[in-house]
Amino acid sequence: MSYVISANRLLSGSIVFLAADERWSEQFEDAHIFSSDELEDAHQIGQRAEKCNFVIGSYAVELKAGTPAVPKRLKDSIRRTGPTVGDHNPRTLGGPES
Amino acid sequence: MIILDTKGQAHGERRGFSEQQEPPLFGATAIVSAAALKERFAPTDTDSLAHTGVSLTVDDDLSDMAGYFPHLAMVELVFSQFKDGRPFSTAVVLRRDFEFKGAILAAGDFLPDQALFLLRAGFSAFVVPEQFTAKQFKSALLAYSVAYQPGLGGAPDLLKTLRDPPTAVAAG
Amino acid sequence: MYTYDTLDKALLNQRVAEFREQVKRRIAGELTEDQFKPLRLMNGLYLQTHAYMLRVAVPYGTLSSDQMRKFAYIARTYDRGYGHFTTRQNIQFNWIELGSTPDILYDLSEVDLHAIQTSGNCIRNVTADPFAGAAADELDDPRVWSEIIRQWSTLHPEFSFLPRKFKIAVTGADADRAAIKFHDIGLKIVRNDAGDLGFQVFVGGGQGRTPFVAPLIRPFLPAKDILRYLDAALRVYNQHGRRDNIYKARIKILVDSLGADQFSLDVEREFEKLDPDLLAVNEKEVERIRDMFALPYLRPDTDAQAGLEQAMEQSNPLRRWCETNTEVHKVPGYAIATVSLKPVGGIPGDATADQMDTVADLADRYSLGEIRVTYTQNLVLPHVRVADLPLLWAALDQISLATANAGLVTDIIACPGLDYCTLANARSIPLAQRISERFADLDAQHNIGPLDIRISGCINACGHHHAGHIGILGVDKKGVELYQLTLGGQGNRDSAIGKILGPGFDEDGIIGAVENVIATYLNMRTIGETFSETLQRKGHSPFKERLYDHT
Ligand code: SF4
Repeated sequence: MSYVISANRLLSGSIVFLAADERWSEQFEDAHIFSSDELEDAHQIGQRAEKCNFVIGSYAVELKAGTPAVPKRLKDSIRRTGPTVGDHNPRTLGGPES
Repeated sequence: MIILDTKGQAHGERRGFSEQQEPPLFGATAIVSAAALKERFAPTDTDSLAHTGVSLTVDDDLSDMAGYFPHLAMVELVFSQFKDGRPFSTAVVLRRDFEFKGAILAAGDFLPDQALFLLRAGFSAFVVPEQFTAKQFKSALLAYSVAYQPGLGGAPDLLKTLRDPPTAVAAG
Repeated sequence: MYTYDTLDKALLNQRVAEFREQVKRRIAGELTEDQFKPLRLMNGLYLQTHAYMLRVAVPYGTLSSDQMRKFAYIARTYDRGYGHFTTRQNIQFNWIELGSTPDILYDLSEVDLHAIQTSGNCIRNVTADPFAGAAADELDDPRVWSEIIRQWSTLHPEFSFLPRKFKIAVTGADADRAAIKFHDIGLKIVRNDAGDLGFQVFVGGGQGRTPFVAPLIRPFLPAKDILRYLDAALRVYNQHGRRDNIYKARIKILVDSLGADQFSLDVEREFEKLDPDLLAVNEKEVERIRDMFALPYLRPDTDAQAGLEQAMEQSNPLRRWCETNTEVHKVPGYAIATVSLKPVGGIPGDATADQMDTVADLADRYSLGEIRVTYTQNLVLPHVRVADLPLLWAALDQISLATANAGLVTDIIACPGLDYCTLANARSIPLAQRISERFADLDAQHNIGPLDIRISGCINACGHHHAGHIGILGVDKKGVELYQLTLGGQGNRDSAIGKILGPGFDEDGIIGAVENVIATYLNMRTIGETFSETLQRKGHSPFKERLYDHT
């Protein structure tokens, strides 16, 4: 099984993914993919970043088998792509309804 | 660990249970656990109790020790974690039902951000936790000049204070 | 409306300054996340799925037009141009940064608004009847007492670190539009035989994993003793509520395990020990607050209704809107108008900044500058001249807020669910959207009649599914969203908890199930019978048979 590490930035709250060389990126595509064996180390990187007050709530996102890498759970895909509902409810933005 | 009272004065250090408290802390030359208190003293040992403090955990039952409180020099209430707010009520009840007049010390895990709440609930001093400084507690004590509830600490009780007349009448 | 005096303002300003410091200390690492979290929660700041979310209190559901404009400003300046009105009469901003939160709180404080105790294990901001001060069936204005409770509970030194959150709701009317029996403490204003004002006190209600309708524990509490009694109840809870298990920490579990009678005795004992003067509500203060809520003189207009009838003759949409979205006002010739935040296919409770601004303008023009927020996630203009209803309706229609569905099948309560909430098991909003699209036809909706559908994305029940005539609960079954259906809940005076009908459904299945439940009702009802009445008469089995026997 493979994973990426995700968290939220402390200051902005935005979702980030752990990229190579311990950077955090807003882009899921930048995320470094860890195998089950590497997961323990990956968690530690996440926790170190929390200790340094860069990010909060770091955790491992399980990926679907195959490429391209996509999260397995719906919750994690929603984190990746945003809410599945309206770009702020466009239907209420328009003119009068029927 | 440093002791700070609710007026921001330092009071030496909090020593361990087996050590002599030197200089005495709010009149206590020794601080004992609830079990030790009941084992070593009777409520009638008023002379000894006048120099003794007891340290209580959140699970200790006050009614068990009712006879001691009028005579003890001080009571320390230990927060098991800052999110567990039982000691706030314990302090209130200690003052009201057990007529405890001595110093109440907050110890264990709590935050400077709780300092005013502690003061207003009836605590007299803090054993400043490792992570924090006396300065942080002192400034936290100055964070508010008013409060809505009756309580200690001198802030006006807004439920009782004469308030400004309305600045605007109902909408319209 | 209540306006802050210099002392209220001083405290609020100090609160904002304190939070600014706390944020600084957090960023500097002087506070760990574990330490900071309860502090930010008590200022309404959550970390949600995509960003921080700020939950701002709408004090007991009442807003001025200026306050609404401030929400619009916050939505535009710090968020993505919209906000979400919640089932606790609050508003949530979904895309907030920690760094800008102190500025937002400062901006809010300029119009006496705040996020104090909208979250955390403390006494939450009080909720009340959204028709307060306008309803014809009201004994006394619940906002007067809610404001007194707000003051007493704000930054309470003893009760800010409780075992769990603590929600208080107040109603002054028999109809109970605040669902008080689903609160930790529900207060109903009553008069005793001697004619004195007081409260019936219900304690230990709530939804969530173990739902309870609160039992009555004090049939009459003199009004002046309200704070003394709350103080006693909270002390019993703070000392004896469970802290070992988050699911057993609410007061409902304590009340249930002790029994209502024993709990009541414990509170009475504590009540007796309290100095009666210490927390006695000061009559002058009550009058000061009451004056601020007093309705200015409105001239009764008994001819208005005839004029409206004429306008409705001309316009069927107006007639339908007036039928469902307006209520009787205590002054003849005035009406209470519900502004539906449930357009077909929309997100329940969402409003854009532009909509907020327009509603504020309409409130100034037609409703004495007042707006209310309901726990059913709608807005209310409480004091509209009946003669103005056609104009108001037309203006609301311009901004898509004139859906004539208050209390009908598409007036769905839905929590944010998996789209925003970290605790969710399943999405709620898309279900609400699909159901509302399915039943979009207004004639059909009016034909179906009063029906509450309520959807929660997890057992925390923010979508009040337990209290819905039809309740939907999202669960997670091995990583797949699954929805359970309950029937028979009630959120009003006759509060009741719905019962699960049978095994859960997937997303398509639950839409079909709701359709089938409604079809079954339509088949069985007698003339004029509502969904609840039919359900009560026939029980769950016909619905169960229809849903499960042929699949
Ligand atoms: S009910 Fe659950 S999913 Fe919905 S908002 Fe509440 S906690 Fe989140």
